[in-house]
Parts: sequence; C-alpha cells; structure tokens
Amino acid sequence: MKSSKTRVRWLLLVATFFLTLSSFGQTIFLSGKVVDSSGKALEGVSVLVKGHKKATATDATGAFNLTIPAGRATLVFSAVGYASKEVAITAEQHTVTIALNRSADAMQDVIIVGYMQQSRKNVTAAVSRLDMAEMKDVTSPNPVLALQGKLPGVSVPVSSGQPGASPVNIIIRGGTRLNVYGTGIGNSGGNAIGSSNATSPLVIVDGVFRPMADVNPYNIESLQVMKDAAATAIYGSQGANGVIVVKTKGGRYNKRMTLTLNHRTTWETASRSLDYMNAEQYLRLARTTVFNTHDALNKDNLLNNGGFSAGTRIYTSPGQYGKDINLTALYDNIVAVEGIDYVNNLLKKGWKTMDDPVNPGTKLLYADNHYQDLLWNTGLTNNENLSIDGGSDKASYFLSANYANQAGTFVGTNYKRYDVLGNFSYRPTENFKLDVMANYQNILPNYVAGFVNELIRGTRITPLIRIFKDNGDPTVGELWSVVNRFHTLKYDQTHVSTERFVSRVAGDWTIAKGLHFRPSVSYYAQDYTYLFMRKGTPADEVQPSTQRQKNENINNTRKMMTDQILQYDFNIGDDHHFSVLGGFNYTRTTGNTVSIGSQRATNDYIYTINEPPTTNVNGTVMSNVTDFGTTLSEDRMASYFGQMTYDYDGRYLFSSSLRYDGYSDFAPDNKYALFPSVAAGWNVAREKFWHVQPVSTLKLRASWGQAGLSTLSITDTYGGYSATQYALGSGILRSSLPNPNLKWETTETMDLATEIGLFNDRINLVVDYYNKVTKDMLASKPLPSEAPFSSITYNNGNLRNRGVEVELGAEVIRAGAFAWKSNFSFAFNRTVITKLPSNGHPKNRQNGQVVWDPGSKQNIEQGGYAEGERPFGIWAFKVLGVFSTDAEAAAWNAKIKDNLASPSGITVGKHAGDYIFADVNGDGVIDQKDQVFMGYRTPSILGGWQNTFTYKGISLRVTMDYALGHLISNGALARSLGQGRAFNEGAPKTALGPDIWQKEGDVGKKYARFSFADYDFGQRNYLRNASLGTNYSYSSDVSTMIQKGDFLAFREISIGYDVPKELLRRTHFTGLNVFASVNNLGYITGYQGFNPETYTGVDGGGYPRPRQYSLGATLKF
Amino acid sequence: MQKLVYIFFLSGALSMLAAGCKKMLNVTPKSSITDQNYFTSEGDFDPYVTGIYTSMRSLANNITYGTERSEELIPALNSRFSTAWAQILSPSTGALDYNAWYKAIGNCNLLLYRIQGFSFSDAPDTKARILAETYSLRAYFFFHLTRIIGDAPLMLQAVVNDNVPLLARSPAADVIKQINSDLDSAILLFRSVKNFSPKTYPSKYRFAYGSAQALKADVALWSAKVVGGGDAALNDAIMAINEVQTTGLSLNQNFKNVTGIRAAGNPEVALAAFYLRDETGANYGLNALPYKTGVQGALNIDSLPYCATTSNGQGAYQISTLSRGLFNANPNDKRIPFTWVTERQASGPKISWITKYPGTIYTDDRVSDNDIIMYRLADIYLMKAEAFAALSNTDSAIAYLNLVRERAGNGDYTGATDKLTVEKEILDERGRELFFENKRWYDLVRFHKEGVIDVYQYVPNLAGKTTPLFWPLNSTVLANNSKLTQTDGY
Repeated sequence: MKSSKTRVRWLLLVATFFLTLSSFGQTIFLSGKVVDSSGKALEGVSVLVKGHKKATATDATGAFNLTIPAGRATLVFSAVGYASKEVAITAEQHTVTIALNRSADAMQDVIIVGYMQQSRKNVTAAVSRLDMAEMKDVTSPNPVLALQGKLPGVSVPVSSGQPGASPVNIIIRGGTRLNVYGTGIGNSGGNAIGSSNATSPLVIVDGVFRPMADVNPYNIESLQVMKDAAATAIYGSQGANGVIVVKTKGGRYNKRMTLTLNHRTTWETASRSLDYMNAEQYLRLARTTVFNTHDALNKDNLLNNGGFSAGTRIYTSPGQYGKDINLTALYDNIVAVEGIDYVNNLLKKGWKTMDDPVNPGTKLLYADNHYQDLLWNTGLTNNENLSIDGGSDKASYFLSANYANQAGTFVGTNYKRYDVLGNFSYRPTENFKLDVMANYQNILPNYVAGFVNELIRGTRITPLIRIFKDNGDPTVGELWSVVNRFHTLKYDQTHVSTERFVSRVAGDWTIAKGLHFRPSVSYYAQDYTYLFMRKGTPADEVQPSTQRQKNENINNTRKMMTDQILQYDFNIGDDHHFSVLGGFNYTRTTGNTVSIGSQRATNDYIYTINEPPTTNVNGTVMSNVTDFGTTLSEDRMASYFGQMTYDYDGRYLFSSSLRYDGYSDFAPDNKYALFPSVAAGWNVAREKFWHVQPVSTLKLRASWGQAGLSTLSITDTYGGYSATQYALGSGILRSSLPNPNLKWETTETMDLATEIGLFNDRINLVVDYYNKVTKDMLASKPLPSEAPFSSITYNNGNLRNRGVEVELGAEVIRAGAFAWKSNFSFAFNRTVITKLPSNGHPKNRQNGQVVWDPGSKQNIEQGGYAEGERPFGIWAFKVLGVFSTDAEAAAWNAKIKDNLASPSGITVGKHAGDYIFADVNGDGVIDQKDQVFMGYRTPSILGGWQNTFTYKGISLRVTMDYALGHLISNGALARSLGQGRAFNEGAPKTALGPDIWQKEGDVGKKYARFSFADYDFGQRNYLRNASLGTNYSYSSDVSTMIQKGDFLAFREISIGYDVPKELLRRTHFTGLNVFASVNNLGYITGYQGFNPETYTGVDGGGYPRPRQYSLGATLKF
Repeated sequence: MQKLVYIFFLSGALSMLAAGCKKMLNVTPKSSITDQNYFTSEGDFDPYVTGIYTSMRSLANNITYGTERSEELIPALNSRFSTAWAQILSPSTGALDYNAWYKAIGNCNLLLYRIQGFSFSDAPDTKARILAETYSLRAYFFFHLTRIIGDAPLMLQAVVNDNVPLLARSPAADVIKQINSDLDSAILLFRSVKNFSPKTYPSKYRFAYGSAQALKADVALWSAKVVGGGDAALNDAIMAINEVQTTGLSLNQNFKNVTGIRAAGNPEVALAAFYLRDETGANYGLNALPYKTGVQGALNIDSLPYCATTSNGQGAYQISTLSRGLFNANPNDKRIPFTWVTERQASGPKISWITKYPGTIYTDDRVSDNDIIMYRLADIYLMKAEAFAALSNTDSAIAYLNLVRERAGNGDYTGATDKLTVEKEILDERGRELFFENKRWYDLVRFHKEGVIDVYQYVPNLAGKTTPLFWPLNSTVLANNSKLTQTDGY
C-alpha cells in the first residue's frame, strides 16, 4: 500500500491542492470495521458522531479510524442499501466491529425532493430512484440508454444505434404534448429528425440544468426521476414533463485517498437487418419482373439501355464499363470493347456470368457489390476512467477523467468524448460549507451526416450497383442523394466538436441551529462547431451541386443561473418536525449561431473557408457564398419559490410547495404564473395499533399540484417576420401570426400511492395511480384556409394522461452466500384529449378526415385530434387478399375503380398479383374514405425486469424490458417490395419467399407482387398516401404492412467477479473487479421489421441498435 | 476566510435585490422581427412587397393547375403527374387546399392595412408604386384562384391574430369585379407617379403599368368567356392590350431567345417570375429535362437537354403526340427545335423531350432555372386576336395571329375566315406558341366554355369522364370553415 502511494504521488500533488488538513482536538482514538450480515467488509459506509460534525467513511477493507470526543458518544453508521445503525461507544472502547443489515430496496435512502432532502420513509412524492448497479454496466457512453425499462413510467424510445445517439426524448407518464414520440425515423448529426413537439424532462445535474446525454455514466452517484406534482411543482414552469435529478460522485471527509482505474472494451455488431438477395437472385428477379409487368414502365430503357442496375447497355469505348454505375453488362459487348483478358480478370475477381432470363442465349456479365458486408462492421469501443477521491476533516475531493471512443457498426461512425470532473467540498468552519463543481467535456462525434440519404436510401441499393471503379476509387453511387458511403468517406471531411464547461459554486451557511442559507451560482457554456469540407471529386464523375463545398457552423450557448435559498428546520416538542424553505431563482440563457458556407475552393488542403467571395465561371461572376448568417437569442426566467414539509412522529406526513415563475417570451400580461402543490402521507405501519407481522412498511400517500411548460418562442407571442429573397432583392414576409393571449401550459397531477414493505422490507411494492391533466396545452390550432396561415400557436385544449405504475423489488433468495435480487416494473398509461377549443365539429375535432364508418354506416370525421379520443391512431387501406389471376383482377376492375393507384396505374388497371383493397363503403371507388382504423402508434404498457444474482464475489445480472400495445408500419419492407419511386432498391429475400405472390395462380399470399416504381407507375400496392396515415413517405399505409410491435427485449446479461482480497494481498491493489456483458441480445416479438422499439408508427429503417459485447476491469489502489 | 464567506453571501443578497426589478424579464429580440418592431417605418413596406413576389413565383411555377389537365404532357421515363393529369378529382383525391393563395392574399391585405398610417410625404411615388404593385399582386392571386375553383371567398381583411372571419364563397363574377377594381386602382396609381411613362418597366420581374394591363386583358378574356362578362369584357381586353402595345415591347426575331434570354433583358417579356439556381433552385422544367442514364446511347444525345443526375432532370414529362400534331401543318415551324427534340436511339425514335425551358448549364450540371414567363408580347397578340375573333372581327384577329405566325416562319394565315375556324386556329396557335408555358388548361377552358372545342373530347384523359373543370376543395378547407360549400359537380 505504501509503495503504491509512492507511485501515485504525482496524483496526490494535484489532490493536495484542494486539501486542507487540519488537526484534531483532545480526543479518543477509535478504530473499527463495518461488515454486512454475511461478514463481508463494507466500503464507503459513512460513520458519524451524533451531535458532532465528526465523520469518516470506511475504506475497501471496511475499516475506519475516528477520533471521538472524550466521554460517551453515539456513532451513526449509514450506507446506501443498508439500514442505518446507531451504536453507543463507551470511553473505554478503542475498537469496534459493526454489522449492517441490507435493506432490500432503496426505501431507506435519502431522496431529493425539490430543494430539500428527505428520508425515503417520509417522502410524499412519486420519485423513482435508479439502482446504481444499473449504471455500472452501461456499455454505451450515453447514460440515458441505461434508463430503459428500469423506472416505471419512464419511456426511453431508442430508435437509432448511432454511437452517442440519444432517444428522441425521455417521456415520463405519457408526457404533456400530443406528439411526444414524433414522426421521424432517426437522427442526423445526433439530433432527431422528423417533428416531435415533445420537450424533454428537466434534467438537473449537480444543481445545473443541462442535457443528460453526454454525462459520463461512471461519475453518476445517484439518479432519480420525479414524476408527480409534489416533486415537480417546485420547478414550476419547467417541471411539467417530470424532472430527472442526477448527482455526481463526490469525495468523503476523513477518507484515505483511493485511486480507481476502470477499463471497458466493447464490440458492437449489427443486429437486425433486412435479408437482401444476392446479385444473382436479384438480377433474375429484376429482369423478369420488368419484362413481365403490366405497369407502363419504359421497359426497353430499363432492360437494354442501363435504365436500372439490372439493365444492360452497349458500351462503345474501353474504360466506360469500369466506372459505370451498373455492374450488369452484356458479356459479348464487354469482351468486344475491353478484350477477353479484361473479362477473364474480372471473372477471377468474382464477376459472374448468367444466361439472360428474359432473352435466353444472351450472356450477362455481372458482379455482386457485397455492399451490406462492406457497410456494417464490428465497432470497437474503448472506455477508460480514472478517478481519485478522498478527504480530510475539512475538505473532500473527487476527481475523474474519462475517455470514451465508440465506433459504430456503420462504417465511419464514431463518438469520442473527453470528460473531466472535479467535485470539491470545503468546510472551513462548523457552520459553513462550500461546494465547487467543475466539469469540462469535449465531444467529437462522427455521425452519418445525411441520415436519410446515406442510411435509409443509401444502404438499400441493389447488389448490382458499382461501389468501386476499376481504378479503386469509389463511385458516387446511384445519385448524390443516394450516395455511396465510401465516396463520402473518401471525399468529405466533417469535424464536429462540442466543448462544454459547467461550473457551480454553492454555499451552505448555518446561521443558527436548523437555519440554513444556501446560495449558488452556476455557469454553463457550450460551444458547438461543425466544419465540413468536400474535396474536389474526379471530373469524370457526376458533380455535386456545389463543388468543393465548405461549411462552418458555430452554435454557442451560455446559461447563467443563481439560486438563493433560506431553509429552516425545527421541531416543536419531540414529534413535530418542520422544514420551511424559501428561495429565488434567476436564469438567463443566451445563444449565438454563426453559419457560413462557400464553394469552389481552390485546393483540397485548407479545411476552413479561404475562397475569394466570387469566381468567374464561363464569363459570369458567381458568388461563392452558399450560406451566410448569424443569430442571437436570449431568454430569461425569474422565479420565487417556497417549500415546506411537516411530519408528526414520522407517522403523519405533509408537504407543500409554491412557485411563482416569470418568463420573458410571454406577453406582458401573461408573463407570470403560480404553481402550487400539496401532499400528505400516512405511515400506517408506524402506528402503535399496527401489528400485522409480515408488513414492515405500509405507507399511503396522496399529492396534488401543478407544473408548467414554457417552450415558446418570442414569435409565438408577438408574431414573426422572416427574410426572403426575390429577384436578388431582399424581402421580408410575415412568418407566423402573433398570439399575445398565450398563457402558460399547466399540468395538474394527482397521485395516489401505496408503499408496502414485507418481511423487514425484504419485499417492497409501490403502486402509484395518477391522473395528469395538461391544461391550455401549447400547440398549433388549425385556422380556416382563408387565413394567411394554416395554424396558430394556441392554448389548444386539455390532455389527460392517466395510469398505474407498479414497482416491485425483492430479495427473492438469500441463502448463505447466494442472493437473488429482483426488480420488476410495470406502467400503464392512457392518453386522452379531454378538451379542444369549440369549432362546431363533433368532439371539436381538429385535422380530421372524412372516412366511412362501418358502425353507423355513414361518412364521419375521424383522426386528427378530438375530445375524448386517444391521439395518434393508425389508419390504413385494408387488404382483402392478392389477385390470383388476371381474370380475377379483370372482374374486379369491372366493378371497382382504385383512385389511389398511380395515374398511369389507373389506366392500366389491376392484374394478378395486385392487392385487393376493400371498398369499405361499397361505392365502387377506392379512395380516402375507405381507410380503416388499425390501432395506435404508441405503447400503452411499458416496463422492465432486472435480476441480480450474487454468490460470494460473483454477480450475474439479467435485465429485460418490454412494451405492449403499439403498431408499426414496416415501411422499409414495403418500400423494398414496391420500390417506391425508385428502380434501384435492393430486394429482400421476402420477394422470393412463400408469402409473396409470384406467378399467375398463386393463392392466399400475404404480399402483393414485387414491382418497380409502384408509387409512380404501379397500383400503389405498398404506398398509398393515406390522409390519416402516418403521413411519412417512408411508411406504408397498407394493412398487411402494419404489425403489432409488442416486444420483450433482452437488454443485458453481465457477469462480474470481485477478485478475493487474499489473491490481491501480494499486489498493490485494494480491489479488482472483472466483468463481461452482452447488451441488446435480442427480442421476443412478432414484429418482423428492423426495430420493434418504434413508437412513431414508422419503421423506415436506418441505424439499427447494435448488439454489444464487452469486457472490462476496475482496479482500485 | 470569514471575509470570503461574507462576500459570497453579500453578492447573493445583491442579486436577490436586483431580481426585484420587473425589467429583468424584458428581452429585446436581436435576431427576430416581430409585430412589436415591424411596420414601424416607411422603409418596411418595400421589402414586404418584394417578399410577396415569392408567392407569385411559386404560383407561376405550379403546373398542376395551368398545365396538367391539358393535353400537353405525357409520361416519359418517370412519372411525376398528380391525379389532375389523370383527371381523377374528387373531394378525397386531388382536392385543393387553397391556403397558399390566401397566404399570398393575406400578405397583400396586411400591407394595405399597415400602410394606412404612413404618409410617405417625402416619397409619394414610392407609396404609389408599393400600393400599385400590391393591388396588382392581389388581383393576380385572386385571378389564379378563381380560374381553379370559380367561386371563391373574398378575403380582403388583414388578419392579425387568431380571429379569422368565416367567409362563404363569393360568385366568380364578384371575384372578377374585385380583381378589376384592384387592377384599376393599380393602373391609376402607376399612372400617378411623377413623369409617368408607359414604357417604364422598372423590373420585368415585378408588376409595372404594362404588365398590370396585360393581366387586365387576361382577366377580361376569362370574364368574357367563362364568367359571362360578354362583349364589354372583350372590348376591355382589347383596350388593355392597346395600352400594353404602347409600352415598347417587341418580339424576339429568333424564337430561341424567347426563353433563351433572361427576362430582365428580353424585349418581348412583360412579366416573368424570377428564377436563378442560387436563389430558387429549379423550376417546373426539372421534370421535363431528361437525365443522362435515361438517354445514353441516343444518336443525337448532344442535342438533348439532358442533366447528369436525376436530381436536376427527372425525365418525367414529354410533349404529347397531340401537341406535336399541332405543328403538322408546318413541319418547318421555327419554334419546333425550341419546343421539343425527339431522342433517336439505334432502335428508332424514342422520347420527345421538351426544350422550351432548357435550363442553364453550370460547371456541375444543367439546372432548370430559366425565368418563368408570365406575359410576353406573342401571348398578348394572341389574346387580342382571340378577343377580336370572339367579337366576330376575324380580320383583325387574323392580323394579330399573323404577327405570331410570321416570326415562326409560317407566313400569313390562309385558312377559312369564319369565326369558328379562326378561333380554333387561334387556340392551336396558342398551343404551338405557348407550349409548356403553363397556360394551356386555362386556354382550353375558355374555348370550351365558348363552344369552340369540347374539352371532354379534346383532352384524351378527360374522354368519357365528367370531372368538372374546377377543382374540389379538400376536407381541411371544408372542415375549418362551415360556411363553405363544395365546388359544383362534386
């Protein structure tokens, strides 16, 4: 131990800078050891001398040393997860061994409620706390992913496997907005694309409002989610979506320095994907499909003029084929143009030949690009953590440094983060404490820039598109908008960097006994820089619309926040305990963006913009500026708040809070709002009359309160005008209507709960029922079409989320050294719109569409938003089957007209293999009135199940989570089978499978014929533009493509081993833990597309979540 | 140490005091313009008119209403037609949400409302010009709309909050009346400026005296034939065109220059919608230009207006055989090469690509960014011919028809001179001269309503159908205004 200290002396030097050592008074020296019920040493148990400020913590061997005042003293031992214990020490005692008993759940813990801390037993609010074991095994650098399925009522929809990517949102108890999950399909630059009008819960990390995604999970000491108004009302206008409070690790007073090293290596592999055909299968299918189709395609162009990747063309000069986009060619033609040696060489490299299926006797030459295999790789992640912590009796410190480098499964994607955190606490006098937190981060990701183009469209090309030219250079790909990933990697340079500095200074001044003044100031600075450079691309290629393009975007954010809090804790008599608190908060957020772009660079060496402002092109002076603009933004918030708690003997609990918030973006009359809450609880089991033996805890609690949401921009209140250009002149146009009457959106939550502990709290059950009504929801209200805007931001009605949450924790088995702890969560939520502004429609429906109602046998408005209805249904065109024969189709054509087929498809009519759509209203026409309701996009039940098995030093964890009740449109499969508007999408093996119509006479098939340009020329078998559909072009609104998304995900299996102390005795280490884990093993689900965790109704493909295998070790000195 | 503590708390207390100020929440927006600070000076109006022209441009670029239902286009390699092309229109298929039109009209209304408080005492001509352009624009928007849906709500009030009056559809005749009133105001205002000269076109991309008169003539022809304006309206058209003829426009001698020379320097153009790649991207010509992989191997590939990529040329439209047929009488018509070119493959002739708007060739690719011509002299001559013919003055009609024929190298018209034949000839001449200029459907409607043709027989996709000539309103429009009724026939 001593020599290891020598080795890390340089680290000590750093640490001592923050340390102030002070001497002890005239006292007794006491040493001791703390163990658990099985006799295992407990580290980090806090040891406190009751009534004094003396405290220490146990080290890795469970030992502690403490000087206690002469005479009789009482020591209080407490540790997370254990019941605290008070032990009286007599003056004669010099050594002591204490055994602590485990509490099965976190019910004994200290919980942060608003600006106060309370013991869990006395809390009257709905607060879920994440077991820190869950943070230990985060294989992703993003801690948000670790929340999935672990906290009841907290939904974490992860739709992308891009390294560092976050879910669109964290949604607590259904959120407070209509469209919380949005309509997007993935993300770009790490940000969600597609509209979601949800806002994230307020995240407070060490007292600072900031995003959670980039927080180093390793530094997190506690994480809790506040769900009801009793806990969120105190955050007023920002609390409506719930509040997540994260506390990072700090040092401990009177603790020897510990150095902890942690390493983790993770391998990521692609999990679910569409099974594409190989070149040979595809070539055969594509050529015969085009040859035989009734669709009015330009067949000759496709088949014989290289109009698609399975088409041939006549090459006339050498070198042409070697860089042509299509790999398909006529064997004889290439031999004639390039010579037999060239062709033989190709055949040696893997090229193949085939007899043309539509023109027997002609030999086709082709190759498989193996694009999928090139794109998806094993990503390697390295994550290193180093931390030092310790403290004297006046100061404590925690310093950590983290380096994470995560490579994604999609080639060229990466997330790199450097993070340094320091938490320092200084206690110069008995009545004053100063906490300083400083965190620096630098995040350097390489995301897929064009998510739709490169991932959604770009990865689905056929196996017959050339990826590399004969000279080894990558081709552009089918198009610049369906670009070859390897072309991007070769010619595009993107440098993205986010630098973040977060600091906070907080004081705690004990003015008198129980009276605290706690001021704090925090400053949050974030600088985002995006640099892009596209090198010159070979002149014989298709050129991008802007050549040698460069961009620089800068987005700087600053947030200053101060809190001034006065708190008074006092007792009246022995049993009346009061805490009263009052405070003030002021927040100012400013932002500055700069974006510039240029083209026609003179060279490929300078990354920054270095061009002359104009260039002479063909005699015309052209501007090289492609982007040019800056913005400044500012908003301010000022709030006063008060909070109080009272308990009588820990039996009767009462608390309340009040916040008065002002926000700069509201109109003067509506700037301020008041948010109150009250809550009460009854610890029944603490009553004298309670003698029900196995029930150790029984608490009933109820709360009511309001919180708000202030996601407004100044132009919503005052109207906006924006710049436009016409005929090279600058113009201005109004861009939004003002609504000076806008007021706060208020979410009123009522929560009723029972907390039950059985067998000395070995089994814990918490059941919450909540009713959450969002009033004056800030949303856009449709206006008559004669208005200058189709909608206006409006306090648009009320929304209700009602549900039940169950949290069950138990130590199922405790047999000697073996233990099985289990935690199960279940949440049911139902969102209903309860009120909308009166507009004369039944149920005041907004954005509805007229659809035939088979029940009432009339046309009625459905969809959109309506009072009493759950929003976000899915409607689709109902498939009755697939025409087996042309004769069958002809008979149908004579009776029914499909107005939704493509214009040229309408002329052609239905044939064998096309879908038979239901004419629901029997009017002889298939149109929008024939949409039928399928179900809902969002799940109604979410939950998870975590298990930890421990045996001596070995621990095994198995976690699962599930969601039920949502439907997903398998847009990716639909587009591949119908090819949308394209001719060059790869075909899934489904197109040759048993479920698809392939030839005249096929009966009872699920899928309509495979076709090209189904949307442009065909019957729109797969994409129909349902007016009540998801309205997303990568989704399908055909009933056969819509499936239930119910799933059970096997999220994590991990095993850890604490190397026994005896084995480490000869080393310098005080602890060694090795671990291995597998994340995202798979699903049990009936859903066949990419991602059953899709809550937007659209599974368009994209970046699937990877399966992660990881190995690592934690070493302590 | 104690000192430090006090400083710390003192600063805290100070900031609490500061918090007492109500001003704390007042933020002056630095990067957004709001109702609080716009329209507070006379200089705010000119940029606003400039802004409104972007709506004119997007309507001029929309060929769903002006072209798709006519006989002009058939699919080429791709298909980019809406159901209007297939003439399948119903309240749930291809129905119209006219909010874009009312957005444009609303911007005019807002300007006319806000300008009331400003005297422009130092620059009365500026005010006159701003008002004149705004009235002209509002007239254009209403005219564009009434040609699509007939009866239309007359929204003339500036909407400044969520309070939107619910209007019923006014009869088309009232809409025409309002358009004429706006145009008369505009013409009067254009004339009112100091040293007025009709030859002044400050910009060919904005309304001026000549283009307001051209619009007036167009409205009058529509009014006469579709809305029952009678001979009075035809005479109005002739009078307005007489005025246009005083504004110094002249025909390009070479038909190539009609779209080949940008409107700013084009002597024939009275009004065009400005297009330039860097400002706007491509116009509707995008769909007509072929892409390279679609035409490779063509023997005459060098004369095809192909683009390197499908993002610049979608290869979706070609000229119909019917439209090409209009040129059969004069196979040497000089307009043909600048109207279409037929791709010749080894296997024979293939697609007839439209060359009217060939775009501009940039270093990377060809981009369809020609100005979209809204009124040009040849069009105006043919309008005059049409008015004379409708008034049975076929001699004058033929005189103006001949002005257009002459440039095309076809010599004077020698056919029958009866009214019906001449009118049919004028319609055909418009089909040749103005092919793909986004006017054909309105031409067909006018001549159909007059009885010169039966559009249900003339347009192949309309054959056997009863689809009304006006568009239906979609469910969003009807849902948000209970006073509206569906277009007749749906």
